[in-house]
Amino acid sequence: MVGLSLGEQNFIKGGIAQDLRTDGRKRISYRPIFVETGVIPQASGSARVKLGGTDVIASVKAELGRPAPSHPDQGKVSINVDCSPIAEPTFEGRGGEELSTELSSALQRCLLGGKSGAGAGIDLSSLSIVQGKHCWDLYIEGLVVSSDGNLLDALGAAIKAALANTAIPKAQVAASALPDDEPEIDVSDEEFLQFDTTSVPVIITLTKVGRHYIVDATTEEESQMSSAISISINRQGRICGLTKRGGAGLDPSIILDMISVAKHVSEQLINKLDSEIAAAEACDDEDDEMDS
Amino acid sequence: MMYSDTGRLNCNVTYTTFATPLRGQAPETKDLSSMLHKALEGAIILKSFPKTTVDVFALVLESGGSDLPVITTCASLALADAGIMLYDMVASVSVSCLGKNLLIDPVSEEESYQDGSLVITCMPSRNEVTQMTVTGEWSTPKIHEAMQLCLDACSKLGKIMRSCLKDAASVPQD
Repeated sequence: MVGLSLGEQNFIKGGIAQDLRTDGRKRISYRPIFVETGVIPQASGSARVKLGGTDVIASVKAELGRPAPSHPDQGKVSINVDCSPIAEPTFEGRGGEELSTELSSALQRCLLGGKSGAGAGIDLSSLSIVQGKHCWDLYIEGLVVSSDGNLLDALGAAIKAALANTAIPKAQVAASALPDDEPEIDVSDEEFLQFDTTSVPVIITLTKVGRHYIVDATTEEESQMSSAISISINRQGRICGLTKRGGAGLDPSIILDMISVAKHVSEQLINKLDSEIAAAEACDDEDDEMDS
Repeated sequence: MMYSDTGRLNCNVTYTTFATPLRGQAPETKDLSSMLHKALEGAIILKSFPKTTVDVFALVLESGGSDLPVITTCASLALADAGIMLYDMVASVSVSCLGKNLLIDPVSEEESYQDGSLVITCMPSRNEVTQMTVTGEWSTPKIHEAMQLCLDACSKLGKIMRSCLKDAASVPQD
């Protein structure tokens, strides 16, 4: 990204102060969201989300694995983000590593809940096959293809859509002759379990520029930010994760105010996202019917 | 290395292999290093030392729970002891939520059963929060309560940090 001149910086800050951003949006409006599911046929589930100039792909792969000894009745989920050099030449090699780790840990915090598993967006006990022996391991990978600000929100939406698209094969455990034998697992090609994603939270990033907060900042607006807070809120209005980003300090009352603004914005975003995902899934089903 | 007219901060957190109950079970240190960096960069007056890098190395000898807050508080004391100019001391506290109860400064066992956690790093005298992370499901009133608890604890911790530095400074140098 080319540096901004002083005039451009003042224009951005002034516009935000007057509730009229450079692309005409209000402070709390999102760019148009475009969701496409089933983009990677080999994965168990996948989705591509475009938020203005930001383009991300999320894929979910389910593999058989052993549950962790501390939680024998739960499956495992691991979230990883890769910033591709396609988005920015500086992401090549180790350049994008810091951003990738920041995004991965923020997503894990928002979607996986506390250590005991409470508050997780994904029901881990539904991934268990045989308690203590077999479970599904979900590997959720995010790929940043084009970056124009607000990567975390786009990745959160893409993961939610990818989970909605995920079909985990039904695994039947064949009864073994001896109790000590490893049970045989018959992974079905026909029957699938769909995820219920209505409880998966969405992530909303509020960027503070001057004295005001904006939602869904572009790269230019992000360069003028003093700090940002990413809040993950679910359909019931409960906060599932919060990360403060950026170095400047924030007054605690401002943080609480940002939380209430985020809750207000989340209602519209969740409805919009759910309807986009449903439309994308319906489109996907129609294509499948036409092919077969 | 490029010339920079503000100072640079470099943070590195490592765990000894005997720090955790099971050998070699250290958490993601890259993640902790970048969080320490974010917590401290708001407090250091980087303009006061151009062309210089400040390296903060944290080695965890024993991990008993609530690791990152302790690391941050300790690093802030070390910076003050080194004479690096700071806007304010940085104090950090974490709160665990178990069911309806809030536990401040949890130990490892309490952390492994927690339903959610809230870590706040703040500069007590300036009343500014430099870093905040929340995990797990929280309702807004609970977050208010936990934040208030943490901020009170941070201001008390800030006072203890200052008195500790004053005592160290008043000990006559041999």
